[in-house]
Amino acid sequence: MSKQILSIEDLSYRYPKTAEFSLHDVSLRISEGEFVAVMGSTGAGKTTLCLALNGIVPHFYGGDFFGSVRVGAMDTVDHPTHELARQVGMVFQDIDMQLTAPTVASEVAFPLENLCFPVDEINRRVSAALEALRLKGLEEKHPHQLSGGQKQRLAIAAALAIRPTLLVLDEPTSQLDPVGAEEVFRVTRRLNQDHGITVIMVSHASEELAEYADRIVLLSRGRLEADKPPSDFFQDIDFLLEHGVRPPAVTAAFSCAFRGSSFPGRYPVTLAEALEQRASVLSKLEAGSTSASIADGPVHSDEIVIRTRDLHFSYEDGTEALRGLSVDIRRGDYVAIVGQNGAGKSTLIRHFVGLLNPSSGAVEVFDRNTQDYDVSTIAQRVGYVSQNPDNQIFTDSVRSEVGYALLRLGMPKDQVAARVEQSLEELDLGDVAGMHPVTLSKADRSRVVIAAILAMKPEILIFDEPTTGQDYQGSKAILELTRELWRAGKTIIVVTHHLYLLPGFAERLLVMGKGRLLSDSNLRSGLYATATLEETYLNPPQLVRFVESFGDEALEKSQPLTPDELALTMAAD
Amino acid sequence: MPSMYIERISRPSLFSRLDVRVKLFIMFLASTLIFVWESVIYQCAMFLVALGLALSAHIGPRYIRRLVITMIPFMLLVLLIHGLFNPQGQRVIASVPEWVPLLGGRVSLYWEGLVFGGMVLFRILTPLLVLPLVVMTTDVNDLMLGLVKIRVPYKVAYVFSVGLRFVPFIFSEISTITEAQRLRGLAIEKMGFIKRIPVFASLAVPLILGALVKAQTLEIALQSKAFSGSAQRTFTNDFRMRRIDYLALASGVVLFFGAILTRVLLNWGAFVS
Amino acid sequence: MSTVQRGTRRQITGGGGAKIGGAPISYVAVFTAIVAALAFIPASIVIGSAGGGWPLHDAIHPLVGLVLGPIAGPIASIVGILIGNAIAPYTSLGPWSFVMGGMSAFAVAMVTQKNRSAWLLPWVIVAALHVVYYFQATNFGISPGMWFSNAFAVTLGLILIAIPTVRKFYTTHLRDQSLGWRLGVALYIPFFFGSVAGMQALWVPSFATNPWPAEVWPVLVPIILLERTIFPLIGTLIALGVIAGLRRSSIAKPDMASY
Repeated sequence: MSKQILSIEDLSYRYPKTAEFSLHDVSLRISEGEFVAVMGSTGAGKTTLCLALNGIVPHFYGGDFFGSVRVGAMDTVDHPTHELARQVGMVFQDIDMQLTAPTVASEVAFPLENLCFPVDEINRRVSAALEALRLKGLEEKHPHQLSGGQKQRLAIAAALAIRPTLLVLDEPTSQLDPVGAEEVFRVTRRLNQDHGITVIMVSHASEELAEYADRIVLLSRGRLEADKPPSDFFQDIDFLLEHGVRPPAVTAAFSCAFRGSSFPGRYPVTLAEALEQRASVLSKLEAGSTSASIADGPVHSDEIVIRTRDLHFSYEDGTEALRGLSVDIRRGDYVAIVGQNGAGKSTLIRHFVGLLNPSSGAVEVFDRNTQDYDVSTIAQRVGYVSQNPDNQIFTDSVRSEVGYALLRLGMPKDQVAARVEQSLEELDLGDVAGMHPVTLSKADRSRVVIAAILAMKPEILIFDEPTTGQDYQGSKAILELTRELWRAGKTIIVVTHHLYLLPGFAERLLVMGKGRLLSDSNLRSGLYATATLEETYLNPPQLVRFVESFGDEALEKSQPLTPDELALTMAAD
Repeated sequence: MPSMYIERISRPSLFSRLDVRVKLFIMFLASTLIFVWESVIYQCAMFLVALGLALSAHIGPRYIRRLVITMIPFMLLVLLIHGLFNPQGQRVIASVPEWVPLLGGRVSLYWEGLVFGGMVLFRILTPLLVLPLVVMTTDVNDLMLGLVKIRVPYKVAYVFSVGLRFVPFIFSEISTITEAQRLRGLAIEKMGFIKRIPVFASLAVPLILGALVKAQTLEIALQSKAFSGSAQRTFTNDFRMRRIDYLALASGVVLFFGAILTRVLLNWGAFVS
Repeated sequence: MSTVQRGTRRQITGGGGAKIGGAPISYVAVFTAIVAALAFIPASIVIGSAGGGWPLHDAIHPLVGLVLGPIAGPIASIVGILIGNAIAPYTSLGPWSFVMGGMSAFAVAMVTQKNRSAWLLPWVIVAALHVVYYFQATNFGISPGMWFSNAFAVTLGLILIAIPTVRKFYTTHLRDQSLGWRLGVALYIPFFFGSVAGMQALWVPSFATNPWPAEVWPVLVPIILLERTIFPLIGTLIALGVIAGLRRSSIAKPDMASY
């Protein structure tokens, strides 16, 4: 048994001025060299738990603290944060705010300087940490000049240079694109396996955690509900969903397919394990029909609402973001646009509302060239919901926020009021109409922004990365909302990295790479065009990879996208 | 929109290698000596020295041209106003002809006024040039340590460094917020001045609130990095005054007191035209 | 909560983190960056500025003082302006603009402190600068009447703040948790004073650098008055929104904040 380095005993904690406890009777022990994942929905207490490990909770916040947290031999209540910082390296979700120094090298040196290490030692460690995180050669760069993945690796390098007993990562990938997220998972795993660094990682990425973690801890409303190795942790799917945790796609698929029947052993939690279960799947396939065709979305009109012709765009610095792109969006479409960062997705949709004007080629919205009218005019017919709700909320109550722009556009007051009420109702915000937006959750603030944009009655709605930074339930809720709006007749365009969330929502998939349109098809064939997806550094959903690696022609032909569909293909007994 | 960073001049030069404290002293000289002299020649000489330093420190002519060109309307205004109205004015260069109604024969451009205006321009340009000169040729960490060495509290020096770090971030916040306003159908550029005020105000509100929420995150990150605000820490970039620094400092001090003494006792640098 | 905690309750010493004048250093840094960034956004084009127009940060300093207090506030304002000047000197109000921001923030923070005599310090400083400016101007041939019509806004600010009832009015309503027009007025008065205090502090070194001849002064009268009315107004509108959000959010309040 290796050395125990963290022990939490009956930890309960409540922030000042709040009634509820954020952590309740949590006990947890972690030994040297372990990779422990923490899962749970937003508000489950995951971040509070992380902050308790280096004493930010309770030293910075105050509040009521019960029980104890010991890192090595240090009790976190008896030692100030700057002493605990020598033992616990922290990496946060916010990739911008945690980098505080003007250059990459000084970022890594900063905590070491604070801890009064000698200069030679600091230089050695900075160099080693940058080497380990593959950031050599970027020493003099400003953090703002790095990509998201590089920023997060820099944060890890800075945490690592202290040579902490424990490396804590709080949702390190939730603001990253798939490439960046993979970088972070890869280095974290390498640090854990090759260098024996003990890791605690909070994440929603079930597939990755199933592969990397030694143990997964489930927090729900401040209580520790489970603490098991991944192969056990993901077995009880209903239990997980109840606590807001999404199981890996293969696990869900197997559980769906074999529901009620006796499955030999346990459901697989990784792709490799799932493929090992080939025999049991095959027997099911033979028993069932192979022609499960699931109808795609309703037929839409032929009216083209957005049309781009040979669209080129270059930024001022010369970066060519779009290189000859022609696409038609028809009324009633539900389009998802995917691609790696820098593929040109945002550049494209910004042309749809006139935020950018083509360098050459043309964009027509409702048969008019976008260059002929300005953003504020287009915005009344094309709603654009950008990523961070906090940058889009201008007033001090939900109700006034929804009516904010309408009043300033000179609409009569009673008409505004009617629109506002309708919009509030559509988004189920009636109960909070009088509240200040800052008091709502992030998911609800997003709804406020959507309500405000809906109040203008746009015919097209564009969502830029609506699921980034949201947990599973939050993401689902927003996508369900888009589906309702689509059913109500709006044309929907969603830009996202989260391919696995799309089935059941989008019906058309545009795949972009390096400023070009790589494919334009229905969602099903789009997600199964795995070569195209990989060309733009997107991982196909786990279920698709499973079907592809499985090597059964009939199964491949039916192209299932959801666990239910896969189960259907495999047919019940 | 101007560049969001302080452009760093990485090419070494005599000036950029000077000790930060010496550079700060030069900044002090540039912002005090301008008050000592009223002579356009002295002021011009000082500006030329600053310009020479800037060019020798490889500050791009493009940067300097932009500084000067952007200020041309202001400079013309200063010259014109002082040329016309400065009480020093005696020798008439040109007058408004008699036949012009109202102004005819009453308004003239005076040589001494123009000279005074010129002196004013150099007075303004010199410190405006020296501040970026010092900052652009100095590593931010060195600047911070230099400030600490001249007894500026470490926390304040640190505010400079971390504030600088977040300027580009605030910029991108501002642009997403203004964009969000346009996406709500608000066209600021089409609004009149009165209507524009509340819209400006509503830009700043999410900016500041959002930034304060982020500041909490920053606070947590800083504490996690063992930051305590104490100057009792290692500075990996520690430096010492070299002979050339002492030399530069000594000549600066001589210049400073020399200028004041000669001005008071010998009236050097008085107004001339 | 009826449930009992299993662990034993721990005594927390609290605190931690670096503060400047009671404000967490991170807040100061973030406001510094905001001031620096706003330095690029011109709000109006007037004679007083060096090049591109009067930067918007002028409106924000009173709020910086109100939120961060009399020590951290001026530091954020001064450092922010210096950063702005270093990045783009041609958009600045000239080399002395940091004096204005610093004084604005300081004056507002002091006249809104709980301590009843704190207002006196900025008041005395501004009054002294006011007198200095008088002699600067009259020595250059500006008539006392012309000086007064120009510096009238500052005189008005000094008088307003000297009246105990006025101070009592705004301090009471600032501490009152309600929002609305009363809070607006309660903010506007100290903001106006902060605005003119900053202006007065800027005038002294500016006049020493560039003394405008008497003929220009009449033109400046309406501009100065308009600006000193409008900027605190923008500041007040911003402050109302910010305070409404701050009071309802979990953002910790700096020790010397006045909201």
